[in-house]
Amino acid sequence: MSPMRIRALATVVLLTAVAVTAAAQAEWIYAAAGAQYVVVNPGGGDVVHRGELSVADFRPGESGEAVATPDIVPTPGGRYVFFLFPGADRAIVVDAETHQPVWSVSLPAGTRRIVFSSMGTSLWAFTGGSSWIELSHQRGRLTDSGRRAASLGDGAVAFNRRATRVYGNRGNDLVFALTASGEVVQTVTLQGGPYDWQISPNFRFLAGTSARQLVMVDEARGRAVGTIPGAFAGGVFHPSSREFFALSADGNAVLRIDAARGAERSRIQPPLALAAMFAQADGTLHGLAPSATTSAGASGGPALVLDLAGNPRVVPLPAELGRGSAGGAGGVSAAGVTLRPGGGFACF
Amino acid sequence: MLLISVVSGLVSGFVGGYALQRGGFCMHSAFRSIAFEKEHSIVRSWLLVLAINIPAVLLLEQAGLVFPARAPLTVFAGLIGGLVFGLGMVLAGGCVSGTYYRASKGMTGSLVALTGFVAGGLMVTRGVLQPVRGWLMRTELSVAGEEASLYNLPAVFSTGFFPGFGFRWLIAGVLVLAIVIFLLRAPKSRFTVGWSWWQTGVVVGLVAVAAWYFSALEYRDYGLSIVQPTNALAGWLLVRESGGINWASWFLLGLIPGAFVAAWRAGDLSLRVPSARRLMQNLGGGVLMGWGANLAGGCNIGHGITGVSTLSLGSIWATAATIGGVWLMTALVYRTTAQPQT
Repeated sequence: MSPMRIRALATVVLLTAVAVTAAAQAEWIYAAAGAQYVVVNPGGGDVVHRGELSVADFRPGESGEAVATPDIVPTPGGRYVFFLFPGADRAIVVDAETHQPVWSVSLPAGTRRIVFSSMGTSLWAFTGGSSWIELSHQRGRLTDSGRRAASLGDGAVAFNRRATRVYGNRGNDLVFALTASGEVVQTVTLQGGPYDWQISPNFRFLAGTSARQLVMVDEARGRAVGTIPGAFAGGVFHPSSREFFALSADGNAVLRIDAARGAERSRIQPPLALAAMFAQADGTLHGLAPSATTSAGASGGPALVLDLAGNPRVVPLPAELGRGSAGGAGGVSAAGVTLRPGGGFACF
Repeated sequence: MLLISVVSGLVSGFVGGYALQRGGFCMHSAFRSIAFEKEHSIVRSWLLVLAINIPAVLLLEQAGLVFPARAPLTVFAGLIGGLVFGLGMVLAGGCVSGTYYRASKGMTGSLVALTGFVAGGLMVTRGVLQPVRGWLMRTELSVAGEEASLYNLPAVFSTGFFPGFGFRWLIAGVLVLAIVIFLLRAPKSRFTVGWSWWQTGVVVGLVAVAAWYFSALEYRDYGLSIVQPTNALAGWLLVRESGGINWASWFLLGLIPGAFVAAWRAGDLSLRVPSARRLMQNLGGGVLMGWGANLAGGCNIGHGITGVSTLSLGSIWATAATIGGVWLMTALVYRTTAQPQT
């Protein structure tokens, strides 16, 4: 074989190896009920880990009280997963590489919800009313005691790419405020709020869902591009940011929405009523059904519905989650986690 | 989707590498020539690339095909990183893309500079200089919290006012018109080796537009870049970390054979080994380029072509600092070599 052919062959082998490695995604679905949690591989639907949310300094339910279902909030890079126990003012942190609880973090009194800034450097804790506390975050740990932040209402808070802007509700309206000072730089006048806001992965669109309608806002133009009447229970952006999947309030319909126009493209009928949805990095959509009760009469505990938009498959969750606990959707909460090692966009 | 990314990346990289080699498109030479030479053909190529890309990116954005990410205006990181990158370019004997294509035609000095570039980059992204970058990137200026761009400047003077596409086209139109007038006044080249400035500019410009389009297909809202894929490939080779592998990585892998074939067809392929002193200079220059580009968040391609095409103030700032670094080091080198021998 000539040296030229050897070089060509070596190049092909190298490229194939890189392609195969690049195609491998570290993605998981975390589901929890009370202090029990499982980790599911969204590709095959198999449970890869199950365990108890308990660390040395915090054991939920230790003194016999009912354990509320925790909210599951992954860090933006996906390396750590925070399980927030409302009422306990603490969150247990799970390392998404080992799936093991590693420590707990103390949160401001009365914390009901936590949100990470887009780069993960801040964690915002909502403590009721319109009070948000900003805490510094680094690698699963909170590094200060926090400071009171701008009043942004009760809706979920979203940040832009560099976390220089924060978006939230003020009455019915959507406000764009400077993260550093809280100064409102733009107001988008809306009806039918307050909304639960989500920002697209490319930070261009804001999708707001409420009990009365869905609104899509183009962040760069500072205006609503479309509204869809109806009661919604949140949704999830496609990783491309070009589409938003909105979940109807009864969980029986998923609307596929063109993000740039804010218009419905099609509608998906899930096999089970859903309480939450997640999108994989490749765009595959999955859902969480609090109860696997079907129209045919079959019933059971909570289940995942994998590949909702393609070839839906119902995967029952383990029985220990079915026993459930207070809070959450049917006593179960779930979140999709994508590990992005070195996938940051700090450099061009 | 992966297949489209791999094939389009490799093909675009091949064409890009071929064009860089045939056109001698080196932005170190371009930046240096602005102040130190009368010949500005590579500057013209660069400006033509911008004249193609500024409206193309805006058009893709308006069509909803691309939602460009704009580099942040990190004042100190852009200034210091850009300056260090510019200093390094002179010592290394070329810009990052120039170093890649020169290494592909057998220039050992460029290969050594490239090694230094990768090592310098690793020091900033994973090594001892990581905290320095974090500290330098803290100071970021924005336009009313929005990514800093020439398009958004009106918001500085009127809170809440963000221009629509009409205003953006006006700004883009004025800039492109100014570039076109400058290019039309170019003298005719009598002695052209390889491609002319406009041939090179058109091909590199179209490859840069293709980069935006194909990157957007895999949800990467950025165009051509060299630093990020270099880091990503180094991360994969060293620690098998594949998170950063994307279209730009395939482009980079295609660029090398493209430049190789261009040199081979032009009979310019030969192993050239400079003196040990010059090799050390190349290595040092490469390390400085790795430090600078990673501190500034981009290089002559990521900032100088892609970022400037989005009219990102961060990219314009970093590119200006890079030009300053090139001029400073070139002046130092000229002064040193002009000393009378004793």
